[in-house]
Amino acid sequence: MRKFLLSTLPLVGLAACTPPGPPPKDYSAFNTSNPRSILVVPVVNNTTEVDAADTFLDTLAPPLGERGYYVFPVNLVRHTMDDSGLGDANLVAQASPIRVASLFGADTVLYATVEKWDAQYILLSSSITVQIHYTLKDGKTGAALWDQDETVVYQPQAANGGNPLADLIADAVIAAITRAHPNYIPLANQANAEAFNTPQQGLPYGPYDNRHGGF
Amino acid sequence: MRKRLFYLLPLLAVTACTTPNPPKYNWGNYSPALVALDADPTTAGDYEATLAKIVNDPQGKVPPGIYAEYGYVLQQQGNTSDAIAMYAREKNAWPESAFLMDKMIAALQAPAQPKPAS
Repeated sequence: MRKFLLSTLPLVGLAACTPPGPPPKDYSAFNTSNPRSILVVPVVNNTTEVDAADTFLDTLAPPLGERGYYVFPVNLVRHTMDDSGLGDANLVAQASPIRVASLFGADTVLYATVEKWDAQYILLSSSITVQIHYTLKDGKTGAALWDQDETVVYQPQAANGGNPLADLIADAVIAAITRAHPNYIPLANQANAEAFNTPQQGLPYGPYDNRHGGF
Repeated sequence: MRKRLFYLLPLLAVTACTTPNPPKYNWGNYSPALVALDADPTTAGDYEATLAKIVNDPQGKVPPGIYAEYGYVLQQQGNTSDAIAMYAREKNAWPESAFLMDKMIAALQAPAQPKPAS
């Protein structure tokens, strides 16, 4: 008995690092497609921040490459699509994934939409929010292989020194710094990491990782 | 001894999920340089230098797409022969890029010919 309990301990250890979350996704279509390459197309912007789509697009290649996939050169692709009349992200999103993939010889096409990209400045509780919707489609069948909605919120640590006046000043300073340069990139990186790397929710490892097909 | 190792297993498992994988590639300053380029086209020189550094770094593994990104910068500068060489390196390193790289190279080698309908 004792031996049995001991032998389950490693399992307990493993389970501990995956908090209870949504049920595992269905990867049957993904596994049938077994893609090697991902074409990242221009990002759709549903926010009022004009830079959000391009900035977010620029963060996508490293996490996908590190996941083990061939990622098409993002900047080259964006300009080539511009030249072919596919510069508008909304237009690309409505075009056939099969046709878009065939222009580049891609196994899959990754569509992303920035749903939220905002900073709120409220006295004592400023926050920055990034929300992204991701869809990966098969370049041969056009079928959706993977879909994920990701929201990341950052709240600067409020000062708590016990001196109300000092705290108020500290918070005002934090808010002013954030307002001058709201840096969304760390949040975009975090959204990507959570979206792609979460076991049974993200993308299985690609062909350039020795865990190919697994999590 | 064997028993003692067993006790350690849960610890190993916990450590395994908190330690990020070592990076496969040297991305250098690629993403931040691209963000800067989008915001301000006068930073094109920084973007080019960032790509050149990644491509020429003898120790870093060149990530997917970076030879081609550098080739595209060279192409925009009118440096056709070096652009073609970079596209060829991308194709050689990543067979998944062969279709696109052949297309980029063909367009540079015969710029006067009309593009084939695709």
